[in-house]
Amino acid sequence: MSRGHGRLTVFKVGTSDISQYCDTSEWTDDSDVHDTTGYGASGHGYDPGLADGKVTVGGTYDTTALTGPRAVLVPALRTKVLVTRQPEGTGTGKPQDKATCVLKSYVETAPVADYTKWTAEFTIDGVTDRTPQT
Amino acid sequence: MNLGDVMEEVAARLDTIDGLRVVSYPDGKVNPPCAVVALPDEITYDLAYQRGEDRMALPIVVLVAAKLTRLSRDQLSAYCDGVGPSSVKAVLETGWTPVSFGTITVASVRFEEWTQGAVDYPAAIFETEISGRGTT
Repeated sequence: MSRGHGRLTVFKVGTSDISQYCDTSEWTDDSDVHDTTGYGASGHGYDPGLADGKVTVGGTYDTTALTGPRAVLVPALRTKVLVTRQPEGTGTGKPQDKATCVLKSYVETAPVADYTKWTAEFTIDGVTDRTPQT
Repeated sequence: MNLGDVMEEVAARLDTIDGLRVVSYPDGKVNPPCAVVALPDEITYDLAYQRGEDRMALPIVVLVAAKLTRLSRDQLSAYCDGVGPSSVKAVLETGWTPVSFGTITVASVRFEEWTQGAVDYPAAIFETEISGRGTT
């Protein structure tokens, strides 16, 4: 048994690798579910519907002007970008989630006695490509 | 972040405070008024993906003459002030760009007796929060 560790995660927006600015990320593949229950049934029946999903990522704000999360994410707001997440790091055959996404939101939070944090949320356009890395 | 590099760089910056003697590690010698850059309790690794961030809380001990006089009280006061040329907080947080780490915040200062040899010195112990890349 070998447990995966979050520290190995790679997160890219377009060609920008912002992994070193991230301390959390979540890739959610969801779908519609249609209720097909008919009269007389003793339990609900369901059919799968269209895929839907979102990606969230966050970390500590970094002042690195050209490569930091603010520099990469703010210009991408309300646009479609390729988002890539590699939960075991980079390497041939390792898993990878990849999707074109709309960058829906970018949030910065600045508590007075702690580091400034940021989060971003992407909405998946279409479906996730889960082809392993080549 | 390399611990030794960070301690040396912080000490060099503190050394710009006029009249304050600075040692970059606790070498067992004090000559008040002086600042000792002490070892952190711990270094926390992997606060971001891909070795993006490590952190440490580096204590800085500032000592004044053993018998507290009005003069030494005022010296200590100037080091603990939030502003001014002798302010440890202002000198460490502004006016320079560290090389061996990313950011430093002087979060608090507490006061206690610091025993060196058989002598108790009035001491201000500054708690700093230092963060930097794990890959440099």
